[in-house]
Amino acid sequence: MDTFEIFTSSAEETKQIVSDLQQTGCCTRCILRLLGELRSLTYRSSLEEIERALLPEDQQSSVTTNQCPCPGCLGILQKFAEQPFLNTIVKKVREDGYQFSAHQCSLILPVSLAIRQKALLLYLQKKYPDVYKGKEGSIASVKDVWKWSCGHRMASLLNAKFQNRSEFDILMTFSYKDSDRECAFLLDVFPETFKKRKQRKFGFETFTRSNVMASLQQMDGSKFEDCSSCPPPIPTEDCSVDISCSHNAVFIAGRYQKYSRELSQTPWVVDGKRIMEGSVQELICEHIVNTFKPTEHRFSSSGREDVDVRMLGIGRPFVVELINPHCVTFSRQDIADLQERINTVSKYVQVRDLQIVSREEIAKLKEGEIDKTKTYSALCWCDRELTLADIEMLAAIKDLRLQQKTPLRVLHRRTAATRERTIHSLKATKEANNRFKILMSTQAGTYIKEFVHGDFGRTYPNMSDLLKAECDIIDLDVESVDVDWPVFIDPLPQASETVDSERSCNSAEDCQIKDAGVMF
Amino acid sequence: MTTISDDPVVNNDVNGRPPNVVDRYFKRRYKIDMQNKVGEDAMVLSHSNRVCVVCLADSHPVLKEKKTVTKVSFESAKWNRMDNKFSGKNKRGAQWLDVNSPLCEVTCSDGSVYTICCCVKGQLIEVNENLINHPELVMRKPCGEGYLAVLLPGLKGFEREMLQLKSQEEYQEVLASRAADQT
Repeated sequence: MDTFEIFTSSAEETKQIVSDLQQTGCCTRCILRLLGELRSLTYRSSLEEIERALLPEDQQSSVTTNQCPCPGCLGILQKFAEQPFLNTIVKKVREDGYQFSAHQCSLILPVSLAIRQKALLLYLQKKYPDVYKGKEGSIASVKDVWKWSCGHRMASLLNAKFQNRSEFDILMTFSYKDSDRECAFLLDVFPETFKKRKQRKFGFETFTRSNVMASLQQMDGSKFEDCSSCPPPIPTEDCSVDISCSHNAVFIAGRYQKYSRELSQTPWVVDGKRIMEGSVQELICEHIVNTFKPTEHRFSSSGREDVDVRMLGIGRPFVVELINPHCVTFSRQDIADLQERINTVSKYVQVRDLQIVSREEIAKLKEGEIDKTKTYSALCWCDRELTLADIEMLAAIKDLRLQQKTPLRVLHRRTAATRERTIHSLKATKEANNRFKILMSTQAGTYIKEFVHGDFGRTYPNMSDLLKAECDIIDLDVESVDVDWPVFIDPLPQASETVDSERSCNSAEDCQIKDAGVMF
Repeated sequence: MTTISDDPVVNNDVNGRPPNVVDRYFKRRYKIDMQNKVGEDAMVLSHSNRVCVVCLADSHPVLKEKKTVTKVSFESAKWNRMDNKFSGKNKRGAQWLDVNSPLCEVTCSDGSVYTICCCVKGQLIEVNENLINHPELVMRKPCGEGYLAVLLPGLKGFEREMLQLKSQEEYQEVLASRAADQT
């Protein structure tokens, strides 16, 4: 029998073991794995081929016609590894409408399978001590054998590679109605281990894979035999199975510009009532969600701006996490087209540098919230005309440290604290009617409105302190969020000192440059 | 699809003084005759997020009679508003104070001492410690840097607290009837 790699080299002994396992009701694939075959390729052979090589000629049909599920796998390597069941899986996957080029299969097996495995091994160890001594760890698991037997068949049925690790997962949860009953004896042997499990956080499940495995490890063979039958009883009923599909989250990043002072970043809802129609998040996500068809999505960005603040320049980095997306295969051009579609939704929100990014990369978005600089321009008012001396004084400011108490307008939801923030530089230009414009670069997290109006003196020093005259802020724009992530795709605007609120265009020529790859 | 109005927002008054911070973000409400002392009025600036800033009202003797404030104290033998440690978004541990709980004492150069109460029931979030070294801010900028304290009524209690205070119109009526009484 040189087609197999098994524990015993004696043909006579093999025959005997096979016969004994057949007596216990074991299926062909279980017999093969219990003989010690560990090579995945062997299991790719059809059931008939394995039987032909393994069983005496007169018995080849008896196993396949056996109506009761196998005591070693509860039928998972029998009925659930055969073509009709695989067709059921494929039907379910097609119904769910996922797009994928590779897949993995995950199996959740009844807990009592661990007990059955141990019972079978003890039975064999007792009967063939020389063959099975110390072989506990050398027997292929039901899960592995299922994947070895069915993986390649699933691949051709789904026309998608079968992988041990894949973004797309087909989860099969097998339940066996007698599982708890077969585990019940463990309650008496290890009352301490199992009683604590009757809690909500364990889903009221007394027996879990980990606690049953741990308990079985502690039990010696004779104790186990007293409590549980060896070999295990032949099951009278099949397992039931639930099939569900999921795809790992996909992240799509970009930068957005906002040209409205009446648009919040996220939906603004108080007590279930909508305060303002629309939001940056919704305007951006609408087409992304329609394209990727996720079951859920989460928008996050590198900081946020107030409703009445515009986001200019090259925009603010954002990322949308698409949870369980149904469509995921898109070319660069597809993403460029998606960006075009987003940009037609509203002239007030424009997106650039749209791209798919990895989960690891999104940490960079949040880093930008803490230690990056931002530039702002603000239209301010002062109760007197600014003098040349004022403008020179402000221009001389370098790394001015502010003590900023949590602003009153966010005090209800933020910890009350005094935080130190730095204004790196400041440049003021005079305008008519006691107005002036400031362009400034600050540490992330600086509250600009409060720096200008002082927030009841709670930001110190503030513009009023610097100018020794009452000041207020009329309009604020974010000019840049200096995070060099995600990678620039669209052309950068020409560097200029003046503050320009013209949006970057997205013409056909631009798209060609996108495909040329990364700029900068 | 979401719609937004097409008109860009313009400041109503392009040339004049823009509406100030208090009027942009806060509603003015009043607590009159604190501790039943006629004329001792306080102003509560309430933000839509429930944050309340307590200030002296213009009709309070300190401002009305243009007194000189020499001292602001947030502690006495019986209470201490400086001893107010709390933490987190929920301000756990902050003093919960009542409408009539004393908040601070304002001493003037003529020897008069006024007790200001909290005016709203809520958590004490902040006292204006600047006033200890610069008590004159109370007269110079009563509803700016001379604010007294910040309180935060509970989510459920906010509405009730706002109703027990006088609105701007009601306050004007009180002032008018006081003026009538004097003549």
